[in-house]
Amino acid sequence: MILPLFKHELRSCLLPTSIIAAVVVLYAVVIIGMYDPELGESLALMRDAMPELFAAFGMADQGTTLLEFVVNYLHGFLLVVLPLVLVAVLVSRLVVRHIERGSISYLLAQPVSRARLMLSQAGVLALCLVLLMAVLTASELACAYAMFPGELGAADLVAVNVATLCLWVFLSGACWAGACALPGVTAARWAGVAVCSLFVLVQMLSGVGDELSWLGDITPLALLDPLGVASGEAGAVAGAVALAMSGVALFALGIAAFARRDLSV
Amino acid sequence: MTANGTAPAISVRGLTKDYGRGRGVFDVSLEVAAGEVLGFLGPNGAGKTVTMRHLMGFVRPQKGTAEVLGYDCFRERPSVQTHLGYLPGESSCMREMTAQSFLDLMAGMRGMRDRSRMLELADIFGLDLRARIGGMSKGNRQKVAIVAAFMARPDVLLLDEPTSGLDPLMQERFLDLVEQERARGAAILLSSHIFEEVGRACDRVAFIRAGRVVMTCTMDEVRSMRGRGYTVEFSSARERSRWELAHGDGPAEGEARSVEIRDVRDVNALIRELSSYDVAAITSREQTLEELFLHLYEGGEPSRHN
Repeated sequence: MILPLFKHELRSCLLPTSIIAAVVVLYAVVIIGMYDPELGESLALMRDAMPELFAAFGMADQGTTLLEFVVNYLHGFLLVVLPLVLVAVLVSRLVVRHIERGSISYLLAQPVSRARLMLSQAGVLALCLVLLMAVLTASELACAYAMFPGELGAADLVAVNVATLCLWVFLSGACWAGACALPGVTAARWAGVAVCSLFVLVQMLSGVGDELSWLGDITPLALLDPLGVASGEAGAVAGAVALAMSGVALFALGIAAFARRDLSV
Repeated sequence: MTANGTAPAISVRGLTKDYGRGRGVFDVSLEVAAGEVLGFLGPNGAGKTVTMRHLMGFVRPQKGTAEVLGYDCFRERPSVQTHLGYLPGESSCMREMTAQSFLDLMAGMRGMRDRSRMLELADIFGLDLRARIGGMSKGNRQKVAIVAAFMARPDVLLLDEPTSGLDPLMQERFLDLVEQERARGAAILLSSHIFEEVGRACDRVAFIRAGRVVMTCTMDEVRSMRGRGYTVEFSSARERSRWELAHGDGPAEGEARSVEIRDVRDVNALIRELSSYDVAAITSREQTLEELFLHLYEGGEPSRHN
């Protein structure tokens, strides 16, 4: 951690984080507000009419509890794609933009190792994701408490969201490794995002028909089972831990590659 | 001050980095002692910036070594950077910041508490620290980069085309600053296109072309190598044409009567030759550094290699 740099970068990353947080909270509030038996019936009717479309967006099963409803409509798609957008923006700001503009030469001209420099930058990214999740969790709990008191267990929701955070760590690790290791600025900016988007698309495809359902098991996203984590299933917990560990390994790989690479700036 | 106590402040030995198609540096060797300024001259793409990047630890040498104060520039970067001030060739400060916040960030990362030198340098160069870097002119951005490079009073300075964008007054102040730093004992590698700047600021000069150092010599040696240039005014344009034809040049158009004769080493031979012409006037001047090194720019053989 390099405190002056950490503070500076955190300030510059708070705006995009706030924008994504506002969008995510808006969706969360709207979706929790939709948890209404009558509306639930009409949603069920819509889902019955277009089962493939709903399944593609990870909304195959409405569930019977508010937690299941939220996980089904929020965590399957929106809480994957929106944080991925944020990760793409932050990785670009924290790594790629410095290389593209040449300002990395000033950072590297200070008496800190490249590994420490990149650890500090990675710390900013991680903190922004934790902040996003904290704001989301607090908003969900507040909203559920206001609209449906007693329907949403705080511990269960926290477990679900921690599992989701593990997925975010994995996605950001993939984007980070690409940004740190790849020599071309365009490749560095987009390679990780492209791979993660491919995972999302493959998972969406797996939901549209039985013939393609096997696709759902081949991407790392299959390791995420938030409801399983909430109910304490060992397999689901192991999946979330594997996602987080893979993400951390990708971060470490990216930092190691950055420390060894040539930088023609 | 040094890792092994005896190394020169900057030492590059047999440095090679081949980027293909003749680009890169090949077997470059340089040394700069404490309290010395080495001018690094060469045309665009000759390898000046690539050499600087090696000294900054941005790139790893394929062959050879680059050391600062005895520390390997790639493997021991933090130790090198503790003692080093760097002025990049491209002004790439963070444009969204003000000069003050950018310099504070750099000082903070360096663990530098005393900001008095920063303020002093900003004052010398008339830099408005409250201005946003993105809204500054090229010259003012260069001033920010100069303050960032010099504010920690480093033992070694790498300056890549440092006066780029500065007006003549600021160039003067910059050269005074380089002189002060040299007197303080800093070792300075100064890359430049501007011959007069090198002539004034440097103790020695290294000329690099196509990735190879083709000549290294002291400024005293440069001065002794300088020939003189003569402007000869003939009595008529016809007389001038006769001279030009005799020297293998096609006669120039127009009625001008003067010719420039550069790099004259044997004055007696010139006088003997001119005695057969009708000369109206002759004036002499010392050959400029630019004229001295022009044959190196144009690809001729070096006249001296130490």
